[in-house]
Amino acid sequence: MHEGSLAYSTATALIEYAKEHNIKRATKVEIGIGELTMIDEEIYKNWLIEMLKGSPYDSAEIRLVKEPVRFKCNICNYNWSLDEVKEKVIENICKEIVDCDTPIHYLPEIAQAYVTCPKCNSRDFEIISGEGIIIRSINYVE
Amino acid sequence: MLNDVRDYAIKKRLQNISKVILVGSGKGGVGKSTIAVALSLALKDVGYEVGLLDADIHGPTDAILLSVKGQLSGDRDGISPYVKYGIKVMSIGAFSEGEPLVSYGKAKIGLIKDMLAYVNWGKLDYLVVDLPPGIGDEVLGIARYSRGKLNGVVVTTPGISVPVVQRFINFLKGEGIPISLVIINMAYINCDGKKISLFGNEDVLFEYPSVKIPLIVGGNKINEIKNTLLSFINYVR
Repeated sequence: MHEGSLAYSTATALIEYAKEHNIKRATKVEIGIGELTMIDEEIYKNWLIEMLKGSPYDSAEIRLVKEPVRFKCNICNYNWSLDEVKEKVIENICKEIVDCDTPIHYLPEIAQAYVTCPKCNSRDFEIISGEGIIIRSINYVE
Repeated sequence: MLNDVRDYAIKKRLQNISKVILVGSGKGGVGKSTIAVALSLALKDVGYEVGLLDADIHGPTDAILLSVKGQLSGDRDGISPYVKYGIKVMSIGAFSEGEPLVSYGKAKIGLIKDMLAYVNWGKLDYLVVDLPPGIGDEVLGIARYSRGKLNGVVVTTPGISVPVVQRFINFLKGEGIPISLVIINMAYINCDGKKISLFGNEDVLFEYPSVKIPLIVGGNKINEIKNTLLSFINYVR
Protein backbone atom coordinates (compact mmCIF):
# COMPACT_ATOMS: atom_id res chain seq x y z
CA MET A 1 0.00 0.00 0.00
CA HIS A 2 1.12 3.44 -0.92
CA GLU A 3 -0.96 5.60 1.47
CA GLY A 4 1.88 6.01 3.99
CA SER A 5 4.39 7.31 1.46
CA LEU A 6 1.82 9.65 -0.10
CA ALA A 7 1.03 10.96 3.39
CA TYR A 8 4.75 11.34 4.07
CA SER A 9 5.24 13.33 0.85
CA THR A 10 2.27 15.53 1.70
CA ALA A 11 3.50 16.10 5.24
CA THR A 12 7.00 16.94 3.92
CA ALA A 13 5.54 19.41 1.44
CA LEU A 14 3.37 21.08 4.09
CA ILE A 15 6.15 21.34 6.66
CA GLU A 16 8.66 22.70 4.13
CA TYR A 17 6.08 25.22 2.96
CA ALA A 18 5.46 26.33 6.55
CA LYS A 19 9.22 26.85 7.03
CA GLU A 20 9.55 28.82 3.80
CA HIS A 21 6.59 31.05 4.63
CA ASN A 22 7.10 31.34 8.35
CA ILE A 23 3.75 29.77 9.19
CA LYS A 24 3.47 29.29 12.94
CA ARG A 25 -0.01 27.79 13.16
CA ALA A 26 -2.23 26.50 10.39
CA THR A 27 -5.97 26.29 11.00
CA LYS A 28 -7.15 24.42 7.92
CA VAL A 29 -5.59 22.51 5.03
CA GLU A 30 -7.52 21.42 1.98
CA ILE A 31 -5.99 18.59 -0.04
CA GLY A 32 -7.19 17.41 -3.43
CA ILE A 33 -7.04 13.63 -3.77
CA GLY A 34 -6.96 12.53 -7.38
CA GLU A 35 -9.22 9.53 -7.84
CA LEU A 36 -6.57 7.87 -10.00
CA THR A 37 -4.34 7.40 -6.94
CA MET A 38 -6.94 4.82 -5.78
CA ILE A 39 -5.97 5.43 -2.17
CA ASP A 40 -7.86 4.61 0.99
CA GLU A 41 -8.55 8.16 2.16
CA GLU A 42 -9.06 7.22 5.79
CA ILE A 43 -5.70 5.45 6.04
CA TYR A 44 -4.02 8.34 4.23
CA LYS A 45 -5.62 10.94 6.51
CA ASN A 46 -4.72 9.03 9.69
CA TRP A 47 -1.09 8.77 8.55
CA LEU A 48 -1.03 12.44 7.64
CA ILE A 49 -2.44 13.59 11.00
CA GLU A 50 0.12 11.39 12.76
CA MET A 51 3.00 12.79 10.68
CA LEU A 52 1.92 16.39 11.25
CA LYS A 53 1.97 16.08 15.05
CA GLY A 54 4.26 18.67 16.60
CA SER A 55 4.27 20.73 13.38
CA PRO A 56 2.43 24.01 12.69
CA TYR A 57 -0.41 21.83 11.37
CA ASP A 58 -0.90 19.93 14.64
CA SER A 59 -4.36 21.31 15.36
CA ALA A 60 -5.36 22.17 11.80
CA GLU A 61 -8.51 20.77 10.24
CA ILE A 62 -7.43 18.44 7.43
CA ARG A 63 -10.01 18.37 4.68
CA LEU A 64 -9.72 15.92 1.80
CA VAL A 65 -11.54 16.71 -1.41
CA LYS A 66 -11.92 13.91 -3.91
CA GLU A 67 -10.99 15.01 -7.42
CA PRO A 68 -12.75 12.80 -9.96
CA VAL A 69 -10.83 11.52 -12.94
CA ARG A 70 -11.88 12.70 -16.36
CA PHE A 71 -10.40 11.29 -19.54
CA LYS A 72 -10.89 12.88 -22.95
CA CYS A 73 -10.33 10.99 -26.18
CA ASN A 74 -8.35 12.86 -28.83
CA ILE A 75 -9.85 10.74 -31.61
CA CYS A 76 -13.62 10.73 -30.96
CA ASN A 77 -13.76 13.46 -28.26
CA TYR A 78 -15.56 11.18 -25.80
CA ASN A 79 -15.21 12.26 -22.19
CA TRP A 80 -15.41 9.59 -19.48
CA SER A 81 -14.88 8.79 -15.80
CA LEU A 82 -12.73 6.19 -14.05
CA ASP A 83 -15.82 4.26 -12.97
CA GLU A 84 -16.67 3.60 -16.59
CA VAL A 85 -13.43 1.67 -17.17
CA LYS A 86 -12.12 0.73 -13.73
CA GLU A 87 -13.43 -2.82 -13.55
CA LYS A 88 -12.10 -3.75 -17.00
CA VAL A 89 -8.70 -2.14 -16.32
CA ILE A 90 -8.22 -3.89 -12.98
CA GLU A 91 -9.32 -7.20 -14.48
CA ASN A 92 -6.81 -6.71 -17.30
CA ILE A 93 -3.93 -5.81 -14.97
CA CYS A 94 -4.56 -8.30 -12.21
CA LYS A 95 -5.68 -11.34 -14.24
CA GLU A 96 -5.26 -14.24 -11.77
CA ILE A 97 -3.00 -12.42 -9.29
CA VAL A 98 -4.24 -12.72 -5.72
CA ASP A 99 -3.74 -9.56 -3.59
CA CYS A 100 -3.17 -7.56 -6.74
CA ASP A 101 -1.84 -4.07 -6.20
CA THR A 102 -2.28 -2.16 -9.46
CA PRO A 103 0.63 -0.05 -10.72
CA ILE A 104 -1.86 2.82 -11.22
CA HIS A 105 -2.11 3.09 -7.44
CA TYR A 106 1.65 3.81 -7.32
CA LEU A 107 2.16 5.63 -10.62
CA PRO A 108 -1.23 7.15 -11.52
CA GLU A 109 -0.12 8.47 -14.90
CA ILE A 110 0.74 4.94 -16.08
CA ALA A 111 -3.05 4.63 -16.57
CA GLN A 112 -2.56 5.69 -20.16
CA ALA A 113 -0.93 2.32 -20.83
CA TYR A 114 -3.91 0.37 -19.50
CA VAL A 115 -6.98 2.47 -20.31
CA THR A 116 -8.63 2.73 -23.72
CA CYS A 117 -11.47 4.97 -24.85
CA PRO A 118 -14.76 3.15 -24.10
CA LYS A 119 -16.25 4.46 -27.34
CA CYS A 120 -13.56 4.03 -30.01
CA ASN A 121 -10.95 1.95 -28.15
CA SER A 122 -8.11 4.41 -28.83
CA ARG A 123 -5.28 4.99 -26.38
CA ASP A 124 -4.84 8.53 -27.65
CA PHE A 125 -6.54 10.40 -24.82
CA GLU A 126 -5.76 12.94 -22.15
CA ILE A 127 -6.12 12.67 -18.42
CA ILE A 128 -7.84 15.98 -17.78
CA SER A 129 -8.13 15.78 -14.00
CA GLY A 130 -7.84 13.63 -10.92
CA GLU A 131 -4.37 12.15 -11.33
CA GLY A 132 -2.46 13.17 -8.23
CA ILE A 133 -2.42 14.81 -4.83
CA ILE A 134 -2.39 18.58 -4.62
CA ILE A 135 -2.53 21.06 -1.78
CA ARG A 136 -5.49 23.25 -2.64
CA SER A 137 -5.28 25.73 0.22
CA ILE A 138 -3.78 26.43 3.63
CA ASN A 139 -5.39 28.75 6.14
CA TYR A 140 -3.07 29.99 8.85
CA VAL A 141 -2.41 32.64 11.44
CA GLU A 142 0.94 34.44 11.20
CA MET B 1 0.65 28.48 -3.37
CA LEU B 2 2.13 25.09 -2.81
CA ASN B 3 0.57 22.70 -5.24
CA ASP B 4 1.97 19.35 -6.38
CA VAL B 5 3.32 17.52 -3.31
CA ARG B 6 5.77 15.62 -5.52
CA ASP B 7 7.92 18.72 -6.06
CA TYR B 8 8.88 18.74 -2.38
CA ALA B 9 9.15 14.96 -2.19
CA ILE B 10 11.60 14.94 -5.11
CA LYS B 11 13.80 17.53 -3.43
CA LYS B 12 13.84 15.44 -0.26
CA ARG B 13 14.65 12.18 -2.11
CA LEU B 14 17.44 13.77 -4.14
CA GLN B 15 19.12 15.02 -0.98
CA ASN B 16 20.07 11.36 -0.41
CA ILE B 17 21.57 10.89 -3.87
CA SER B 18 25.09 12.20 -4.45
CA LYS B 19 25.26 12.02 -8.26
CA VAL B 20 22.86 11.46 -11.12
CA ILE B 21 24.47 9.97 -14.24
CA LEU B 22 22.54 10.55 -17.45
CA VAL B 23 23.26 7.78 -19.95
CA GLY B 24 21.97 9.23 -23.19
CA SER B 25 22.48 9.67 -26.86
CA GLY B 26 19.60 11.45 -28.51
CA LYS B 27 19.68 8.54 -30.98
CA GLY B 28 17.91 5.19 -30.68
CA GLY B 29 19.44 1.74 -31.03
CA VAL B 30 23.00 2.65 -30.08
CA GLY B 31 23.10 0.59 -26.88
CA LYS B 32 22.22 3.06 -24.15
CA SER B 33 20.48 0.49 -21.96
CA THR B 34 23.32 -2.01 -22.25
CA ILE B 35 25.79 0.69 -21.25
CA ALA B 36 23.53 1.97 -18.43
CA VAL B 37 23.27 -1.53 -16.97
CA ALA B 38 27.00 -2.25 -17.41
CA LEU B 39 27.91 1.10 -15.84
CA SER B 40 25.62 0.43 -12.86
CA LEU B 41 27.27 -2.96 -12.36
CA ALA B 42 30.74 -1.42 -12.63
CA LEU B 43 29.95 1.27 -10.06
CA LYS B 44 28.51 -1.39 -7.75
CA ASP B 45 31.66 -3.50 -8.21
CA VAL B 46 33.78 -0.59 -7.03
CA GLY B 47 31.68 -0.50 -3.87
CA TYR B 48 29.17 2.26 -4.44
CA GLU B 49 25.47 2.26 -3.62
CA VAL B 50 23.81 2.37 -7.02
CA GLY B 51 20.29 2.92 -8.34
CA LEU B 52 19.24 2.43 -11.97
CA LEU B 53 16.22 4.34 -13.25
CA ASP B 54 14.91 3.30 -16.65
CA ALA B 55 13.51 6.57 -17.96
CA ASP B 56 12.64 5.07 -21.32
CA ILE B 57 8.90 5.15 -20.72
CA HIS B 58 7.91 3.80 -24.15
CA GLY B 59 10.57 1.15 -24.61
CA PRO B 60 11.95 0.09 -21.23
CA THR B 61 14.75 -2.45 -21.64
CA ASP B 62 16.63 -2.50 -18.32
CA ALA B 63 14.17 -4.94 -16.75
CA ILE B 64 14.77 -7.35 -19.64
CA LEU B 65 18.55 -7.01 -19.47
CA LEU B 66 18.53 -7.65 -15.73
CA SER B 67 15.67 -10.20 -15.73
CA VAL B 68 13.65 -8.14 -13.28
CA LYS B 69 9.92 -8.82 -13.07
CA GLY B 70 7.06 -8.47 -10.58
CA GLN B 71 4.24 -6.21 -9.45
CA LEU B 72 5.04 -2.93 -7.75
CA SER B 73 4.95 -2.84 -4.00
CA GLY B 74 5.64 -0.28 -1.36
CA ASP B 75 5.33 0.79 2.22
CA ARG B 76 5.36 3.97 4.27
CA ASP B 77 8.76 4.92 2.88
CA GLY B 78 7.71 4.71 -0.74
CA ILE B 79 7.67 2.38 -3.72
CA SER B 80 10.20 -0.41 -3.24
CA PRO B 81 12.68 -0.60 -6.11
CA TYR B 82 13.52 -4.04 -7.48
CA VAL B 83 16.95 -5.22 -6.38
CA LYS B 84 19.30 -7.12 -8.69
CA TYR B 85 23.02 -7.76 -8.13
CA GLY B 86 22.81 -5.25 -5.28
CA ILE B 87 21.52 -2.50 -7.60
CA LYS B 88 18.19 -0.83 -6.91
CA VAL B 89 16.23 -0.82 -10.15
CA MET B 90 13.06 0.90 -11.30
CA SER B 91 11.77 0.13 -14.75
CA ILE B 92 8.20 0.24 -16.01
CA GLY B 93 9.14 -2.80 -18.07
CA ALA B 94 9.24 -4.95 -14.92
CA PHE B 95 5.46 -4.90 -14.39
CA SER B 96 3.83 -4.00 -17.70
CA GLU B 97 4.56 -6.93 -19.97
CA GLY B 98 3.20 -6.45 -23.47
CA GLU B 99 1.28 -3.23 -22.76
CA PRO B 100 1.75 -0.48 -25.33
CA LEU B 101 3.25 2.19 -23.13
CA VAL B 102 1.43 5.23 -24.36
CA SER B 103 2.22 8.50 -22.68
CA TYR B 104 2.83 12.10 -23.60
CA GLY B 105 3.07 15.64 -22.31
CA LYS B 106 1.77 16.26 -18.79
CA ALA B 107 1.19 12.56 -18.07
CA LYS B 108 4.72 11.62 -19.12
CA ILE B 109 6.29 14.32 -16.96
CA GLY B 110 3.97 13.09 -14.21
CA LEU B 111 5.34 9.57 -14.52
CA ILE B 112 8.91 10.82 -14.24
CA LYS B 113 7.92 12.90 -11.21
CA ASP B 114 6.20 9.88 -9.63
CA MET B 115 9.35 7.79 -10.04
CA LEU B 116 11.59 10.49 -8.58
CA ALA B 117 9.20 11.37 -5.75
CA TYR B 118 7.96 8.00 -4.61
CA VAL B 119 10.61 5.37 -5.35
CA ASN B 120 12.44 4.69 -2.13
CA TRP B 121 16.03 4.78 -3.39
CA GLY B 122 17.41 5.37 0.08
CA LYS B 123 20.95 6.70 0.24
CA LEU B 124 22.75 6.38 -3.10
CA ASP B 125 26.18 7.34 -4.33
CA TYR B 126 24.95 7.14 -7.92
CA LEU B 127 21.59 7.11 -9.63
CA VAL B 128 22.22 5.97 -13.20
CA VAL B 129 19.43 7.12 -15.51
CA ASP B 130 18.90 5.28 -18.77
CA LEU B 131 17.46 7.98 -21.04
CA PRO B 132 15.24 7.34 -24.06
CA PRO B 133 16.13 8.51 -27.58
CA GLY B 134 15.46 12.16 -28.33
CA ILE B 135 15.49 15.16 -26.04
CA GLY B 136 11.90 15.14 -24.82
CA ASP B 137 9.86 15.16 -21.62
CA GLU B 138 11.81 12.40 -19.87
CA VAL B 139 15.21 13.97 -20.50
CA LEU B 140 14.05 17.46 -19.55
CA GLY B 141 12.16 16.19 -16.50
CA ILE B 142 15.15 14.35 -15.05
CA ALA B 143 17.54 17.19 -15.85
CA ARG B 144 15.19 19.78 -14.34
CA TYR B 145 14.89 18.04 -10.98
CA SER B 146 18.48 16.86 -10.62
CA ARG B 147 20.31 20.15 -11.26
CA GLY B 148 23.73 20.37 -9.70
CA LYS B 149 24.16 16.59 -9.42
CA LEU B 150 24.29 15.69 -13.08
CA ASN B 151 26.98 14.04 -15.14
CA GLY B 152 26.60 12.75 -18.70
CA VAL B 153 27.73 9.49 -20.28
CA VAL B 154 27.09 9.72 -24.01
CA VAL B 155 26.59 6.62 -26.15
CA THR B 156 26.93 6.55 -29.92
CA THR B 157 27.80 4.30 -32.79
CA PRO B 158 30.20 5.58 -35.46
CA GLY B 159 28.93 6.91 -38.78
CA ILE B 160 25.39 8.18 -39.29
CA SER B 161 24.55 8.48 -35.57
CA VAL B 162 27.28 11.01 -34.94
CA PRO B 163 25.54 14.22 -36.12
CA VAL B 164 22.43 13.28 -34.12
CA VAL B 165 24.45 12.50 -31.01
CA GLN B 166 26.30 15.80 -31.45
CA ARG B 167 22.91 17.53 -30.92
CA PHE B 168 22.52 15.70 -27.62
CA ILE B 169 26.04 16.71 -26.62
CA ASN B 170 25.20 20.30 -27.48
CA PHE B 171 22.11 20.05 -25.30
CA LEU B 172 24.16 18.83 -22.33
CA LYS B 173 26.72 21.56 -22.92
CA GLY B 174 23.99 24.19 -23.11
CA GLU B 175 22.53 23.01 -19.81
CA GLY B 176 25.95 23.04 -18.18
CA ILE B 177 25.96 19.26 -17.65
CA PRO B 178 29.53 17.86 -17.70
CA ILE B 179 30.23 14.82 -19.89
CA SER B 180 32.57 12.26 -18.41
CA LEU B 181 32.61 9.55 -21.07
CA VAL B 182 31.70 9.06 -24.71
CA ILE B 183 31.11 5.39 -25.48
CA ILE B 184 31.50 4.46 -29.13
CA ASN B 185 29.48 1.28 -29.22
CA MET B 186 29.64 -1.28 -32.05
CA ALA B 187 32.82 0.41 -33.21
CA TYR B 188 34.62 -2.51 -34.86
CA ILE B 189 34.86 -6.27 -35.23
CA ASN B 190 37.85 -8.51 -34.89
CA CYS B 191 38.27 -10.63 -38.01
CA ASP B 192 41.19 -13.04 -37.79
CA GLY B 193 42.99 -10.58 -35.56
CA LYS B 194 42.29 -7.69 -37.93
CA LYS B 195 40.32 -4.72 -36.63
CA ILE B 196 37.55 -3.79 -39.09
CA SER B 197 35.32 -0.75 -38.64
CA LEU B 198 31.74 -1.45 -39.68
CA PHE B 199 29.96 1.87 -39.51
CA GLY B 200 32.82 4.20 -40.33
CA ASN B 201 35.85 5.44 -38.49
CA GLU B 202 35.44 4.49 -34.84
CA ASP B 203 37.67 7.33 -33.82
CA VAL B 204 34.72 9.73 -33.94
CA LEU B 205 35.66 13.23 -33.01
CA PHE B 206 33.15 15.18 -31.01
CA GLU B 207 33.78 18.72 -30.05
CA TYR B 208 34.01 17.77 -26.43
CA PRO B 209 37.06 16.93 -24.38
CA SER B 210 35.97 13.67 -22.79
CA VAL B 211 37.29 10.14 -22.72
CA LYS B 212 36.15 8.09 -25.69
CA ILE B 213 35.87 4.32 -25.39
CA PRO B 214 35.43 2.27 -28.58
CA LEU B 215 33.68 -1.06 -28.03
CA ILE B 216 33.79 -4.13 -30.20
CA VAL B 217 30.69 -5.23 -32.17
CA GLY B 218 28.89 -8.40 -31.12
CA GLY B 219 29.76 -10.83 -28.37
CA ASN B 220 29.87 -7.89 -26.00
CA LYS B 221 28.32 -9.51 -22.98
CA ILE B 222 27.29 -6.97 -20.38
CA ASN B 223 29.97 -8.30 -18.08
CA GLU B 224 32.69 -7.69 -20.68
CA ILE B 225 31.48 -4.11 -21.15
CA LYS B 226 31.36 -3.70 -17.39
CA ASN B 227 35.00 -4.80 -17.19
CA THR B 228 35.99 -2.30 -19.89
CA LEU B 229 34.12 0.47 -18.06
CA LEU B 230 35.85 -0.43 -14.81
CA SER B 231 39.12 0.84 -16.28
CA PHE B 232 37.50 4.22 -16.89
CA ILE B 233 35.40 4.45 -13.74
CA ASN B 234 37.54 7.25 -12.31
CA TYR B 235 36.31 9.56 -15.04
CA VAL B 236 32.70 8.98 -13.99
CA ARG B 237 33.46 9.75 -10.39
